[in-house]
Amino acid sequence: MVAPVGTATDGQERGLGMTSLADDARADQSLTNVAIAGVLRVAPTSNPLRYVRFCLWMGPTLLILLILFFALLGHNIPPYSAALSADDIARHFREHTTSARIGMTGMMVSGVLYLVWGMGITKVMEAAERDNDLLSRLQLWGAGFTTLVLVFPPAFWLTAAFRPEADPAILMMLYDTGWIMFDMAFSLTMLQVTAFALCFLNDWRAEPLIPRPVCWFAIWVAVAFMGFCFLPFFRDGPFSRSGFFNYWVEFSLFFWAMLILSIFTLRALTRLQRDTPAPAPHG
Amino acid sequence: MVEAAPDRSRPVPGILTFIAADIANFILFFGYFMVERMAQPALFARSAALLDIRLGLLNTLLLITSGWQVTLAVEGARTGHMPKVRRHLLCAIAVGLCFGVVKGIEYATKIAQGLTPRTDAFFTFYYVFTGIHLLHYAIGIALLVATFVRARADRADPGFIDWTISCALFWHMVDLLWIFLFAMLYLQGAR
Repeated sequence: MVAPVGTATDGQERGLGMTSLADDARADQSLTNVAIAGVLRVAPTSNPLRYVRFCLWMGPTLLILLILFFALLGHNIPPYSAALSADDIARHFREHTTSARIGMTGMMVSGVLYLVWGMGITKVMEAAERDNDLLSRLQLWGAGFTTLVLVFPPAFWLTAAFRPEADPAILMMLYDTGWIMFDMAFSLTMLQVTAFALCFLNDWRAEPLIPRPVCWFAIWVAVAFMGFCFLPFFRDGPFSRSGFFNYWVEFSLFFWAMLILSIFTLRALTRLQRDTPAPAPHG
Repeated sequence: MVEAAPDRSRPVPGILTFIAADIANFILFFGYFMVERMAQPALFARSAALLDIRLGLLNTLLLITSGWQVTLAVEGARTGHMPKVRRHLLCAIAVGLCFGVVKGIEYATKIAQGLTPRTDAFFTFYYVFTGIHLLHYAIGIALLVATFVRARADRADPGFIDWTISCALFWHMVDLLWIFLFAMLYLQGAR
């Protein structure tokens, strides 16, 4: 049970009458009084970094889940070539129906972790922002929309796996739609990583929370994502969806960025926690 | 607690990370192109001969000239001579814009001749590589314009020199990549 501030219980516990009203007001602002099992415990209220580490760890967690669900169970290392016939694509869904169903379901369920990860990054970014919270908000919106990109394309692949007996041309269209949505929505992730980089490049600390090379790497990733613009023009070759540049270079950058940004934001969080003074004991 | 930075003037190593990553990406492009070229040298030589070397050379000269002007602008920024910065930046932007015009003419001519990214492997690489380079070029022009806007003040604001050096480094990278593209795409068709 949570005792309201300034109740008789609260006053008795802290010896009302021995402290001034001003002291009481200050104490009330900084403390939350929590009564557990009949014993009043006074806990420090302010821990702006609570849960942030958990959120940040959702990045690497999602990375592992994506490798399992999207890449391995979804048979997407690399995806089927856009040059294949409709019958070849249909054969994939007919041969791997169950693994595709498990993989795409898992991907749709776990995709939301990207938003949780983005929220963790937002909290670290807030520590580096000076004038306003614009960049951390943009980063969060970018992460939020990227979450949709992780959730919606597998719905198309799951639909195809759900009815593998359908017309091969329809299965191919579902497969293509999923991939085009997955690759061509890159601007949403571009927004996220660019806002991240600009924020930490403007960090005023002598030793920035995120090293500048990491910020420039993020900007490079954003620029490199523009290479996806070639995807609609090629069904085969290095710039097609399964080609060397499009898949192994551009597409893999999404995962490398997740990994590198996770490592360095976790380090930044460790530093923030170290630099934050521990709340003084009360009660 | 965190401490304020006494000196924040260190953006140059940062942008070098970007430049190194970008150049590594282009090295991959070039390597892939060469491997493909070895597989079908006759086709690549035949297609490369369809490119207009004069336009490629003109664009090389334009970018080198623009890069030279940017270097002079950096010199002006270092000495705090803002009119010199503005003058040379304006020249760099004007000459740089000519590159885009020439490239547009070249693309239009090639497409009118029926040479598109789907024509053959060589033209796929031609359009993709020069297209990605054009994106970098557009970013570079935008950075130069932003630098010019910042240079309108009578006195350089803190960080202006580092900003200018960073933009200049980026612009030189655009220049350098074009020199490689020119040699790789245009000159192999020269007779």
